Amino acid sequence: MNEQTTIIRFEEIKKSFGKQSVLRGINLGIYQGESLVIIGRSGCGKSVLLKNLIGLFKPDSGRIFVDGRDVVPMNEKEMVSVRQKIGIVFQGGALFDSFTVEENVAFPLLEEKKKNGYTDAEIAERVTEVLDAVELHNQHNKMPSELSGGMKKRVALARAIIRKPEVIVYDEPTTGLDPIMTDSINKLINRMREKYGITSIVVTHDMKTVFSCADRVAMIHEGKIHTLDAPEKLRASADTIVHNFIEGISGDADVEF
Amino acid sequence: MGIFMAETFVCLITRPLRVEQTVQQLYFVGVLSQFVVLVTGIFTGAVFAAQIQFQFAKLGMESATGSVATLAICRELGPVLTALMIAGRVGSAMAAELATMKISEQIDALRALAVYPVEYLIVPRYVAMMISLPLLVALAITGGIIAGYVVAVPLLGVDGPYYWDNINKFVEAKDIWIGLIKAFFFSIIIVTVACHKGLSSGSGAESVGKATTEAAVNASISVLIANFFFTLILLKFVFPT
Ligand SMILES: Nc1ncnc2c1ncn2[C@@H]1O[C@H](COP(=O)(O)OP(=O)(O)OP(=O)(O)O)[C@@H](O)[C@H]1O
Ligand SMILES: [Mg+2]
Repeated sequence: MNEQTTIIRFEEIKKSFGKQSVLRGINLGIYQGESLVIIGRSGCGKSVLLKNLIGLFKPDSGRIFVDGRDVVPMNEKEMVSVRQKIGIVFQGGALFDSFTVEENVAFPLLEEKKKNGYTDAEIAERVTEVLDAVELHNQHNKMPSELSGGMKKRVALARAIIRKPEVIVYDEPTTGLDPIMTDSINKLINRMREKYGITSIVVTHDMKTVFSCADRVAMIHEGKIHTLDAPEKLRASADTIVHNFIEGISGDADVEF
Repeated sequence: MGIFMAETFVCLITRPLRVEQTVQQLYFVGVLSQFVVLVTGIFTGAVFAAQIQFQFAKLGMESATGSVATLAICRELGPVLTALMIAGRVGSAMAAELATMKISEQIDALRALAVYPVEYLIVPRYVAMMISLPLLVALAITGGIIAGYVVAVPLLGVDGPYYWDNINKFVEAKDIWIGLIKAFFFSIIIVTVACHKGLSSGSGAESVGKATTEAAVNASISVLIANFFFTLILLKFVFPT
């Protein structure tokens, strides 16, 4: 298939914090325009992997190719061009707490204002557009501290999609949202892809998101990619680790308390 | 910390200044500190003039009160006390703000949005401090001299014209310069310690608290120690008599 050009490739990524070895050789390719969902137990290193991609952490060893260029040896200045391609929704939102909702969402566009030549009116229009997309109406002037957890998450989402980057990385976009909102975010992720051809990397614990968004699912287990497959195959998997994760069954070791 | 400073100064020179952020910091550091600094200057000047007057009266040289008090205020008390107040008021606030931004991933978010945090957060704070502190010191000195006069002349009965005459005779432009030069270097010390402590904070509320107090304490101590060496260098090499 022609559409399957690899846009991002992780090669043998290893990362330890002190004695704790978190990533032990991740190999993963992500195709242009696909939605790849990453699952795995809490603390298995999903967020760390994503932060390696945009250079917030450097791996201990391994290579990460974005559009064919290895980003691991890049310095902050060289990373700029990579970061402009990749939007990220942080797990904790990471909203700027001295800015209003509107200012947070407008921030990426204001930053590249000189380059993209947007007028203030165009930016305001885009802000309203993306805030509507995440169903935040008339909340423009609230401060992040005045928002609920789910609302913060949606503002963070709006801030990541406003630039329409080539790749959007969602770190648990639906955790803490009600089921209806979760469904609407899942649809938003699909829409971003269908409408703009954006490649999505979604980290989630939500099986609904897995089955409604994923083209492929990667499961991280013990610092490696344990399985990488289509979601239907995963559901039918005979592998105990995969099966237990999807069905939410804890092994005996976990209930020893 | 040396690397951190080098990075900041390279950024200050090579990249355009974030005007909006700098104005915001100038307002916080400069404008909002005026009251504290003025009160510090006035009451220090007042008490110092009073003490000197009491002692000098015994020797019958009250009219020298003005020159001695003014010299002390210009060269030492003005810059040092102002710097200490700013280390407490501004240094701790900067460290707390940056540490909070760090633990809530806001600094990561900036980097992820292709914004260089040194340019966006640090340089504006440096510029605001380097401009504000000398001006604040000038304010404290002015307040101190006027308060000294008010205490010595109308309150304690020193001869007014004599008081001014002595100030004019013994206080020179270089004394003001000493105060302002010190202020400039103190500003760099305070902002460096504060930003460095804030950005190198660990995670968790406790670390933020620690970064905040350490910023204020370390900056204050550094100011006091540096002041001694600045005095030596300035009096011996820069403005030798
Ligand atoms: N800055 C850091 N310093 C030290 N250890 C860290 C750091 N960041 C993450 N870790 C460790 O790395 C491991 C993986 O963390 P990570 O945040 O990637 O987990 P995760 O898979 O995203 O989990 P969750 O699903 O709960 O978000 C954890 O055990 C954590 O303790
Ligand atoms: Mg995570």
